[in-house]
Amino acid sequence: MTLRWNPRGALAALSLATALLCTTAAVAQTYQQSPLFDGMDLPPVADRLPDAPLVLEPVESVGTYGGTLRNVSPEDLGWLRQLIMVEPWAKWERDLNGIRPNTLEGWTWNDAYTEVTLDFREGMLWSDGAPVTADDFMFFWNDMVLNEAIPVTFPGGTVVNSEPMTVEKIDDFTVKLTFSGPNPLFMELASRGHYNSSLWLVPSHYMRQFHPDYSDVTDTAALMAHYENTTRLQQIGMPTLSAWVITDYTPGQRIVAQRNPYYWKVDSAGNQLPYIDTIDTTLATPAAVGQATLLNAIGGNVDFQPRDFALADYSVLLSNQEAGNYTVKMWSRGDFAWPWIMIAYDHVDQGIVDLFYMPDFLRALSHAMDRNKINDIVSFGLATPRQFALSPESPEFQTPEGQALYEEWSNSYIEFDPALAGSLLDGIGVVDADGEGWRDRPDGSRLQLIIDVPASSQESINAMDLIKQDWEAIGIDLILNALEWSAIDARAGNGEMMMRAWPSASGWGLLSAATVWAPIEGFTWSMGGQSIGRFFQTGGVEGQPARPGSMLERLQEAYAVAIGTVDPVERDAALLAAYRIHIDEGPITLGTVGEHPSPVVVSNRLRNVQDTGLTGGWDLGFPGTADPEQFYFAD
Amino acid sequence: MTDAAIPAEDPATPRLAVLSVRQLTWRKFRRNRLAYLGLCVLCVMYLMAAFAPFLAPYGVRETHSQFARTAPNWLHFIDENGSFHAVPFVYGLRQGMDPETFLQSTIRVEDEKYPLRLLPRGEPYLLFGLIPAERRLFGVDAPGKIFLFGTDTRGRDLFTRILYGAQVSLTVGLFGVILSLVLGVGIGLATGYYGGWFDSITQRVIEMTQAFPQIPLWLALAALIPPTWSSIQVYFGISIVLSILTWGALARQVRAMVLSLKTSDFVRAARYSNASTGRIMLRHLLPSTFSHVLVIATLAIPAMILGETALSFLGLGIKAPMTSWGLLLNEAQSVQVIVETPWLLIPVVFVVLTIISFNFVGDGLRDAADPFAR
Amino acid sequence: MWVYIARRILALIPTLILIMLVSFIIMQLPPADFVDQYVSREAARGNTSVAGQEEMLRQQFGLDQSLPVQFVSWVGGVFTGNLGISFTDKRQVSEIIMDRLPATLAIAGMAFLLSWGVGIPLGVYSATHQYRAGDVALTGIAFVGIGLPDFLLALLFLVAAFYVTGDVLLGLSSPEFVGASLSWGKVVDFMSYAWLSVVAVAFTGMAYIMRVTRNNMLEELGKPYVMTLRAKGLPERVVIWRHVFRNAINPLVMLFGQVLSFLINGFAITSVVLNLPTVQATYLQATLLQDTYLAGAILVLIAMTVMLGNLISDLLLAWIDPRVRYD
Repeated sequence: MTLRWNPRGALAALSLATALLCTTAAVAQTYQQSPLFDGMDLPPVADRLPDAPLVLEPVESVGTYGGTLRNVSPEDLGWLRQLIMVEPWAKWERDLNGIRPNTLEGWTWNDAYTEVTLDFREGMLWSDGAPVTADDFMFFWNDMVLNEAIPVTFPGGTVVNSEPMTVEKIDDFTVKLTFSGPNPLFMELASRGHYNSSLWLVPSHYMRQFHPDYSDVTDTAALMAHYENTTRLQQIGMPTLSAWVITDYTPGQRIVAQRNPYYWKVDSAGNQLPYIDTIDTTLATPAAVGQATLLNAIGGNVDFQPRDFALADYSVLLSNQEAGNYTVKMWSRGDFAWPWIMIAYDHVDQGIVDLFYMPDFLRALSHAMDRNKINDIVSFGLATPRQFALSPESPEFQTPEGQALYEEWSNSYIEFDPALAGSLLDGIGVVDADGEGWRDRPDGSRLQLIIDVPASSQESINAMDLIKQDWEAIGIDLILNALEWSAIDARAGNGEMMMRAWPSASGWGLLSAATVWAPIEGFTWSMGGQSIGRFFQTGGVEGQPARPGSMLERLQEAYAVAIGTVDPVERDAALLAAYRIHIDEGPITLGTVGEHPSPVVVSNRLRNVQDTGLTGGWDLGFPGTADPEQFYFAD
Repeated sequence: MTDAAIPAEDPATPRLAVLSVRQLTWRKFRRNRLAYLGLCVLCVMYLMAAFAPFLAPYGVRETHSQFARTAPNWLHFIDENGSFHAVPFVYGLRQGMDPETFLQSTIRVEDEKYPLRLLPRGEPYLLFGLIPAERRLFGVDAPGKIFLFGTDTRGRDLFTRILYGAQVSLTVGLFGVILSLVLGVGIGLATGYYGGWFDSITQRVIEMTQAFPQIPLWLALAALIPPTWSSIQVYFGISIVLSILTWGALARQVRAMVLSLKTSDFVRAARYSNASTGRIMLRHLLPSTFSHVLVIATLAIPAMILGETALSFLGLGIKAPMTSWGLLLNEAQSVQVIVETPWLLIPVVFVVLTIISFNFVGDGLRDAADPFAR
Repeated sequence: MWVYIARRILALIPTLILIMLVSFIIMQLPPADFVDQYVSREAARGNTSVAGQEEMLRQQFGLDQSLPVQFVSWVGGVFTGNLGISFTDKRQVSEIIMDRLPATLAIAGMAFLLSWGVGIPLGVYSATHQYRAGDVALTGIAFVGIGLPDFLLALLFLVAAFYVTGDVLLGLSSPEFVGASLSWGKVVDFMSYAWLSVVAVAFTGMAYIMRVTRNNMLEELGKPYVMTLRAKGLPERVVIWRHVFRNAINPLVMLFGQVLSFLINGFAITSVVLNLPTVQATYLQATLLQDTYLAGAILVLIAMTVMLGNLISDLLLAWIDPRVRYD
């Protein structure tokens, strides 16, 4: 269910499972391989698999080998990496409630959550047949991360209290990590998306030829191209642990991946995965990808297309299911807001910041928004009006108290009541002092709000235009500043930004703290204000502090408490207490509507794809978490 | 050209009318039916734009959130039973969403009929931006809706948006073209006539403006424009920049014509009679290039409208709450629109009509002004 | 004349450098550079591991040097053939451009031939049959071509082709022919996709050429010498093509110079909408992502084609029209 991991229980379960597996292995477990490999010059399948391969229970049934999975992806290969490259140490569960061992066989924490011992799979091989050992990780840590000449920094989660973890190799298949403080969420942080731990096991035998210390190369360009998540997939010939290996890549047009003969997972009947032979992806420019996905979907030319549809396309997709021989599975996006309005409490104009710190100001703005209208017009009625709060699937909301708090939070201050909004503003002195039709600041000077909106997000612009009309109706002058994304980031960095519309996001408790509920990181996506976040992150060295005693400061403190709490139950309680600040003194960030459905187009020939689920943000690694290696074609 | 000679007074011959060149030209123009038709259409378009708030049944930002993506809801004279109504009416509408396909569909409710009302009161507006007014030409009583061209994906009446869009597209584009014309013709004449190093330098400058990296320039401008500028100010700025970048092509063509005319007899004659350079250029060379320049001008106006569409596509042009035809075309640019809400392509008809009209008028003017025209 | 040509070609170099300077300045104007954009984009996806890496990334890309140094090394690189590396996929810029050049030239070349090859004769026909049924019909079609943006036209064609044939004609080849070596099958497959973009692009161009030709022809046809030629008893065909047409083509010749740059820089948005693997699509993407060396190299290419095109049309003009003299 949640992020709980009871060490003793886990150890017991793990031992039992291992014993069972060994027993079954001892009863001469036979493995089968794809008929493609018969007759090829390869070692027997049992030798290609690790001693204890990962056993995947299929979603529906044990499958048959063969077939080509077709789909469409933007040319930057965004979510395609989540299909092919998601092989972290531990993967999120299919229902996104917790993590399960993936490339690691298991791990054990000590009681204080300061040391974790990782068990690698013995006998696991890279896609070129070389063995995977702890040396691969040691190469990554010692020769890439710790080596100052190589531009790889400490990955997220590996630095606690400003100190990086220490890594100790115990034996060829065991590694111990030690943190300077409790780091109970390390494995979850490492399991995010297709970056993080998916990248930490590098094929050291192959990478050495690009490393300046081991070969003649003079710069790190080739090494970085093979390491970084944005370019790793395209490196043909690089050994990988994924189910499919890239064999053809024509930039901007097509990318093809073939099955990996050394893949280390089997299904419950002993068949080596994956079932599907080939993944054939057509690439398109960002402007063309909308046409490409829609037309190819209704034309029956894609077999699995989980992203890159616009909300407006849903009805076209649904009406053509029969013609295209596919089914649209409606998953949930897990978006808690689309768009949402981030407030920059580090804006240079202190008069504006004063208003932001007054709860009634933001409450008035929130009550003035007609969320039903936004829902009808921008989201075609498919979303839910709600306040800015985490996704309901977040683990800490899975108890009755959590549930109740979530309901309260997501429904706070969302009633459409312009009269109430007006009276709240009157109460704090924001009235039309000079009679020119707009409300002014309490000191009488002109009040003009400016919100930065990414020019590329038409939905955000449309929603903000409706909100602008709503706010004009209560006398607030709002200017929409549509800019290119990085221009907005630049303004956020130097305090010029006042408010910002962010298209969509989903989030999980502590993993998404910075974006959602506490200013603890100094990045452009941090809520509350980039400088305020940086102040916390650098321990007061850079940035500016939140106003003493303010809700922002208390949220930072609450985060510090929660991140160090080892016991999951206590941690959830700490999180709920922090969220209470948002309910009582917020809204600190404004939400509009959220929880849109997300269509996943699945060919009627494709099996083992879940009917419902959460596509979520990139953090969670969907569609990798749907276990595409067990998809199969029933022909 | 001199005025028509006045014949000597002779009681036997009837007195002939005296017409100036301009009047002669106008007469010739009127005889050209297509050109005249084009002129009428343009007048209608500009009147439409000027009186847009009066003619539009709804405000430009008014969203009918219950009726997004609605097909046109016409006026009828004959109802479902076959009986005739003197006053035309619209049917009531009910919005439904098909639960299977999420397709929003609008159902005509035959029991509800809303007759057309003339000069009803509506949302207050400023006619010509100055005169406050409340009444519009036509409308229906609430909750009836008169969507002559349907609504778009945000529930805004398309007919209204086309009218307001005309205001922007028909005026601001013209401004840029005129500026471009002045620059292009003036510099083209000068460089063609003088030649030499002046010509060389100007040609290189033109090459530079043509090879200019436009898209990075737009991106840079977009980042630098202060957010407090209104959309109109931004568009004026854009059209000025656009015309600075495009006068080169026209200048080169004018230059080509001047180069060939420079050595012709009438120019030489003018020079030998000590005509000043200015006079030569204005009174002799310019009229010869005039017809071609006119044709280019009439073809440049669609280029401006479409240039605005391209900018909208890149996210750099007119933005909400302003409307323009380019923006409307841009919103129609999607497979989903073509398949499900094709009425959103109606602005294309207006754009093409306007362009045809400009072209016919240009043709007619050229024919009328050309002393050799058949 | 040769001196003139030599002078023009020599003048290309300082002009080019000037263009490069102005472009470089413009590309540096937006407040965020490639690294900032990259970090923003990854962050929007939840990959926060690159944030805080800006300094190291800039070093990798050479963006940490001062602007004058960057500019000088770029110019030096271009003139020695080293066009730099693309930041997004870390490949050589020259390799990327060469990959895309054949498709670009094929589509643009075919579109040019179609629009001029059809536009000119139709324009002449339109002029000689002014206001008759044929002229009105052609004029009408021409206006549709001029009135619609070419990318909207392309989209309409795309959807129409999809509903008629069931094929999704995005890009220039079926998946199985991508990257395959040249063969008869590949050529046929290419044409089955390419016709859509060629027609969409040529449609607009053809309309324009037709109108310009028609108007020039009409103007010439009104001149007295035409009457003389006809009175002399010359067949109409000779009158039109050997005499009137030759006089009417001056402006067309000036337009011809733009064809060269059209090949590399035309129909950029249509390329992007139809997912064509062309140089202009790459240029758009590179500019939006601030992939400076890639965008810069293509920009230099565009500038060269503009200047060479102008030179060609000036020379053509002198060749065709004996009245034109260059000092």
